[in-house]
Amino acid sequence: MPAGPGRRRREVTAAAPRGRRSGRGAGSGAWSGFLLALPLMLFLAVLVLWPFSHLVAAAVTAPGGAAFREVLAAGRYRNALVNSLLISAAAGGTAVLLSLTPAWVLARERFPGRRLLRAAMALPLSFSGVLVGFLMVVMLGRIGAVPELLRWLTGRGLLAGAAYTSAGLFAAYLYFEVPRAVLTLEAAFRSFPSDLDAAARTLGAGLGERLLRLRLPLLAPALSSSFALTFSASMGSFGVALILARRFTVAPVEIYTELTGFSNDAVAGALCLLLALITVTVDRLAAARTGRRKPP
Amino acid sequence: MSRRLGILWTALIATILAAPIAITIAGAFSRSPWYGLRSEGTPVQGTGELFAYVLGLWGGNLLRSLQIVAVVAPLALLLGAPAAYAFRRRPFPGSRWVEAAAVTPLAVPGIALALALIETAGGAPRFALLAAGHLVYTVPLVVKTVGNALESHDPRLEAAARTLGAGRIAIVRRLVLPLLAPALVLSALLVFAVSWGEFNVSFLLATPSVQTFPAALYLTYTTNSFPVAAAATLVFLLPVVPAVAAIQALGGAELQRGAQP
Amino acid sequence: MRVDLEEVAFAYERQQVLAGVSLALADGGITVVIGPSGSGKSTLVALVAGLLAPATGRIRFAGTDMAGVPPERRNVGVVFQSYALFPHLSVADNVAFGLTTGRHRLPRGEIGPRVRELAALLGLGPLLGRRPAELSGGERQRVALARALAPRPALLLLDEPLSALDASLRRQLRAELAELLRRLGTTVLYVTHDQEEAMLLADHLVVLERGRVAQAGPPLELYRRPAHPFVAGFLGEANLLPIAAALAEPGLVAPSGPAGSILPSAGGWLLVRPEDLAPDAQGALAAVIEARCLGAFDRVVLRLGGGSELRAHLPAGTAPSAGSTLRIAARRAHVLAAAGADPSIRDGRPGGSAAPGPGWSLDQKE
Repeated sequence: MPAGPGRRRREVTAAAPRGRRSGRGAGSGAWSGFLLALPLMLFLAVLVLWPFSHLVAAAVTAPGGAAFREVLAAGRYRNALVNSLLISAAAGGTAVLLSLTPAWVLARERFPGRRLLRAAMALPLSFSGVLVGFLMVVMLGRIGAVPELLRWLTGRGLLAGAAYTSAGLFAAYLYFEVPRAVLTLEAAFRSFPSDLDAAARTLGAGLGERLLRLRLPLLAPALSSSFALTFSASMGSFGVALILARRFTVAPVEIYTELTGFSNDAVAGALCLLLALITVTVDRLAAARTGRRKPP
Repeated sequence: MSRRLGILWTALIATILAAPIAITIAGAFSRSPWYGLRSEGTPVQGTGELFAYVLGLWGGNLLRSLQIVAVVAPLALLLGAPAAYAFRRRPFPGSRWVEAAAVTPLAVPGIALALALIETAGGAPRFALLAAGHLVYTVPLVVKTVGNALESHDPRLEAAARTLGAGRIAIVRRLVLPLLAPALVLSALLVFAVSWGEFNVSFLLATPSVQTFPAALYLTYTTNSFPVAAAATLVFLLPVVPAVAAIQALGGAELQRGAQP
Repeated sequence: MRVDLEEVAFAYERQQVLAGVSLALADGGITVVIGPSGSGKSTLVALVAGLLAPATGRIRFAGTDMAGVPPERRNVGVVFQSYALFPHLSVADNVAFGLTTGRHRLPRGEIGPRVRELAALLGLGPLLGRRPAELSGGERQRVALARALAPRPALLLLDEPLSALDASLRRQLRAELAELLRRLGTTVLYVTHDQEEAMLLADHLVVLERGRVAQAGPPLELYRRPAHPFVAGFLGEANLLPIAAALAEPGLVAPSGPAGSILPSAGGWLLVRPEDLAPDAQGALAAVIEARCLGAFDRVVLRLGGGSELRAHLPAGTAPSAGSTLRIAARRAHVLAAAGADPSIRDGRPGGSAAPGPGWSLDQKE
């Protein structure tokens, strides 16, 4: 792509003029930057790094890392982690697939009601996890709206209580993931240069060829970062799971029960660390892929 | 043709997303304890009394949430905005890593943070810990929003101001702040929207005397009848919906990372 | 392949971008469409390529109506103003793209040789493995051209292909491009706003103004005998004087001559190109307001007795200094019979447009 103004801008920043007349003099640019960012750095160190390193120390030193071994070996905790991973991955992938068309439409087409649709998409983003769980129960609980409607139509109790199955949790994850995926992808789709498509057409490429050979490779980073975002949101999702995951367990709920039910701090701590490790790693990997253009 | 199909499909998804909320809102105003969690009769009859009942039960939580926002929003802006400015306009060795680190906490699960905080500083006042937890999830949003705004402004504006004789403070006051005002407003709205619905950290840090409104929501969902739960949901949504609308209008892409569900 | 546009019109968001444009592209010829920004040039390219559909009118390729035929199935090559190179593919893959799609799909074995053939033609040999981001502006332009030519299109469309380059590169590439296009013999539609480019490249020149064809014909014809002031001013520096004012300057224009006795007495313009003004002992008296040497010639601003200003190009180093006087006469002039409009003349370029009308040319000394 031609080096546009954006790239030139960054070069200017790096070589910013250092006035000799200004008070502090040359070279103070970086120093003042450091000072401006210092409160943030202290905040991160004290409120994030220190508590987590404390947690790591506690989990590791407790009888020879027993907590970790217990977590990874025993059925109950492993099940919780595996459940989380499976449902989150499935929901993340499905959400991205479902979001492809809406994101493209919202990014590039103009039609009446576009703003309204976008607002409707964005609304669930502000919902607390418990609210999403509640909505799922309203729709698919034992006497939820959908089963009641089906009962009225067919006389049979279909889907009653579906909210409390893993399929229900999957649907709940989709509910808050699709808006995230749509908005993330929309931004990427909007910046997709439209003349590339025109060029491909004049070179004889039909829609299928253009999708596969042009859009997919160029948008792959956005797609994978969208997946990572939705995946890690689901993994860390607690409120939803608290309400819906009754007959099976996922990692966040397991942590909660270990803490409050059994006061098993060590195991809870180990589970927390594993969960955090997974979500942060996935998040950072995806950020690195898109990091070429923007800072993470 | 495929364009129209695409629009219809998008509309379908938007409808599916909006339907549960619509039904819930309707439920807040209906008399019969229809479907939902429990179907025991409502302790009150009229709609107005319903809301009064909800506020009576959970008014304290509501207040607590407001207090948290009042403390967290200015702090988040103070911590995040200058840092974003530093990352974009006054980079120092390692600033790229610090910026990456500043954004990473968004990926940390809330319960993990809560547990970590309790284990390390369990004796500290709960309100302070709550505020700290909320800060961890809102400061990155400020950094990103202000950072994006700075990226879209020409950095040479400041150089130009300096050649015209403006000192550092004058530049900040007369150039940087006015240009950043929309981004700061957007950040404040984002902080509000995220903090208001924050549950994962808050639930574990809650004590009977220090509880936020989402915790109240959880309790109504598991103990009260549907109309009460619906009414409580409405009370929750009331401030947040205009905030989200304002965020969308201002082009807030960062909301997509916002509240951890 | 011969291409015909018949009364093509196109509107976008209630703006009439093109209104009734008719032109013909001769088989194997280079037609240049020139016009200021906003005149609809890029829209024209998009319409001929099939990326847009005309609201009214017809576009024919070799007689066949192209309505409803998408770009994928038209045999056109397009060089976009932004080049539109695929950033994730190497130069070689970019060039080969059109050979691997749709109808002009080549068998595997033939793709490599064809790519190399084009690389040799356009000097891209060492660049084949690189990505577009690693190339300079001039290199990208050549890759875009190679890519468009690879599938041997019957029609080549170029949308301001040199406008993104700096002046010296543009001058150099312009000549190479002209030579290459003539050698290829493909029908070419070339769009630009640069008058020098247009004169160099065009077999047939079309001037577009606000969505309409102002004039079309051989380039020199349009330069010497523009139909109305807009064309005159757009194709080069022009001195446009109202006829009456010109006649009031004794000696500026010889009253007799081939067609000289038939001068309209009112309502018309006299066009004199700066290079056609020369010192003449029997010429009109003029005061020198400004004189600058531009290297290849001297640019002189003169004021005539009646107050009209003229710009003249005199041989380098011969212009008298500002403040002196000079006798000047036009060796060649062209009369435009304008009806109605009053173009305001700024720096020799008229601002308005007038209804086209027949003009008289006065070739004084020919």
